[in-house]
Amino acid sequence: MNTITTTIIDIGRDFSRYPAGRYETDGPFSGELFRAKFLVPVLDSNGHVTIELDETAGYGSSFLEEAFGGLVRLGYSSTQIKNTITLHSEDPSLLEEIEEYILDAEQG
Amino acid sequence: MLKNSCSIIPKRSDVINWKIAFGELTDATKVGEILEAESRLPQTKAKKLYRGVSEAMTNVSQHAYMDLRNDGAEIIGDKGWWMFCREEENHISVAFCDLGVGIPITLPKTIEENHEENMFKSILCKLFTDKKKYSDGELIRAAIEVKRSRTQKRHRGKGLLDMIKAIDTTQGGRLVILSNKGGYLYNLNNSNPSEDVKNYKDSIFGTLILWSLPVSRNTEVKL
Repeated sequence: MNTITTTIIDIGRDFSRYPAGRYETDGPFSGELFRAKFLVPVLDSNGHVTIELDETAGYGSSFLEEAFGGLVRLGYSSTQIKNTITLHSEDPSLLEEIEEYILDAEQG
Repeated sequence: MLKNSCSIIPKRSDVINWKIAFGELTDATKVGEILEAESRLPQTKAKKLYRGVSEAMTNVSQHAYMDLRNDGAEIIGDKGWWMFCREEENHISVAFCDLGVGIPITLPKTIEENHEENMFKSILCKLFTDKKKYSDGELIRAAIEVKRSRTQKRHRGKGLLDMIKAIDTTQGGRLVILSNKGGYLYNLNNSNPSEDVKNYKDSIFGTLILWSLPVSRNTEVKL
């Protein structure tokens, strides 16, 4: 029997309470860095992760788009992303926004 | 900001009571701490302001200092930004500025990068009639309209919309974007957003974004 390990990542606790910027060249807590550090390794290991989004000061669209939409540009499919990453937030508009970034990136 | 000291000590409350953050990279730690410390500001509004300011900061990192700044200071390699925050009575004001080349100068490059030349031209014609030269205020206004377009792909920059989002559900919310000789104003009164373009004789040699909004919770509206 195969078992899948689920990891819980709280962005505010495990990455930064103040995420900002798209690329690593923009600043120290960018979407690109978050993606490389926390999302890509889980996708590559066929694991599962729950991302807790609410314990931060907020998010700009550049950070969110690069972190999540950027996964599609790296070659992961939206289905693979959805099966691997569960997002948690009390703000439904934030979840919708991230989903849009993933689907828009897939449409090119 | 111009690296000159001044011997005048300000005393007016509307001059001295500002919390300040500044930097060169998109590190919004200090900005976030200032917004979160505004105890009367509801968390949802603080998060929206953080969204706007962190995107403005990202724009500075990516575009604002693409060329020598226009104020004649001849400072090379400077990528500075400044943020000011002040709460008074029932309002909070947040200002963010840089001394870069300005939105009207960076626009052609970002429009070209995003393959939006045709859309930008058609929006300019639609909003301000077909003419050879558009004012700085008109260029800023058209850039916002491009970002609103449904066909625009999300991975292109949406920073200007994040700046509007910071106040667009707050009754009495106001956004002012000044860049070089142009200005764009967005107000939300009686649930109706209004937009205006301004043009000035002189340039501010950079970009200043100002958000002003009431802090009470009951000013939140659904559009």
